[in-house]
Amino acid sequence: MRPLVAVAVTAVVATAGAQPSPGPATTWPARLQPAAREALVALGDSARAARLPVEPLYAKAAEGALKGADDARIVAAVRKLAHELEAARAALGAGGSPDEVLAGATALRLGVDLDALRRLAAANAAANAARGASAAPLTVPLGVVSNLVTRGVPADVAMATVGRLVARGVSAAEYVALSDAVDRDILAGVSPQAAAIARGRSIARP
Amino acid sequence: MWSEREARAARDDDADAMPNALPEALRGAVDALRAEVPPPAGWRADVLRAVAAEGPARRVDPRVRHAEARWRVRPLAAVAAALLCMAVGASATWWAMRGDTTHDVPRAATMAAASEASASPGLAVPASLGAGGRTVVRFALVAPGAARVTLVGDFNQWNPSATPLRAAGDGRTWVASVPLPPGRHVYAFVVDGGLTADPRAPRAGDEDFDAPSSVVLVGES
Repeated sequence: MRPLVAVAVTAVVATAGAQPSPGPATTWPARLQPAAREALVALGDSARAARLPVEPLYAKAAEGALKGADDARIVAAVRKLAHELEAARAALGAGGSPDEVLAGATALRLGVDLDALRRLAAANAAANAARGASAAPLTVPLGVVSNLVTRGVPADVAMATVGRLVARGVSAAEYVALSDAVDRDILAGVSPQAAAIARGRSIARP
Repeated sequence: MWSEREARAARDDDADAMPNALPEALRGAVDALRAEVPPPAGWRADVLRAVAAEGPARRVDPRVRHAEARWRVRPLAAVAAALLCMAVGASATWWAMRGDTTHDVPRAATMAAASEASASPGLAVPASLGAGGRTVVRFALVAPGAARVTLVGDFNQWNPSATPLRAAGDGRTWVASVPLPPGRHVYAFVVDGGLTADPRAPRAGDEDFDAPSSVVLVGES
């Protein structure tokens, strides 16, 4: 091998490996004690058997380890998330994507009612059927619901606001615009509930 | 200042005057050492015979000379040299990019500086459409005293070494651009080993582990 070729090959290989893009986590945190690890492995296996997304469970455990939580707290958080994923999947239907299921689980955690989540999924399916369009994902609408609730908008108001937009089939960009507009209104002194209702109506208006 | 000619004349005068200053016993030795020594008889003939015995001069092939002049490096040595150069370059880059930061800045000072611009929400800004339906989101944190800042979140499995931020030109801001799929993403920064939420972004609000996180909503797909 000529020296210049060797240098070039080495440089290319080393540069390509300098910033690996992180793939999905498939392991539990290394620092866990055997008992906690066994519990998490069992939870992961159960989730996998139930065809739930397991990557969020790994991520939740990694988050707990990074934030210095003890083993018991990590296991409890992963178990709670697994239950939320299961409930969300039941509400959204078997056709829900992993991202949608995780978004639904987050909304449930923040106080959204399970029946309200079911109604939102049904409204989305009906709207898509009426337009003859393929199923629009609920990942972003549910993310907006979670954002609104964390800003202080009551969960039922947030779901009703987003539900009207789902029925109209607005774009993902409009959902983000709604969330940003409500943020600005709240910073300007408007009550979260009033901001969500007003901004939602202005976007839903034909 | 003396000219060169004046200096040389002075040296000659000293040399001529010195024998007169010596004791009588040494003058004879000085005269003997100054006397010209005649070469041995027949030395020229001896030298010419020796040169003739060497034979004709060896002719050097110019290609051979070129080959000898080439820089010969074994492949493994070249690889090692390349790795060494990369390590030196990376170290130099790191050193240049660390700017005015130091490793022993008190943590409180770093956080106070990071909170300076907390009046405007959202430093995680969707910047452009990336590949595979992902949107490139630009994360930024003002942390002038920090030595190392990384990004953690549900998109990189909270791995503190997966997404380092780089120091911007102002020496205060740390930035990273990350392609994210549509949805609501929870994240935080690790500043010199300590976890901190984005002071400019909304809080996640659904914490399991007390330490606060931030959220960014990505809508484009």
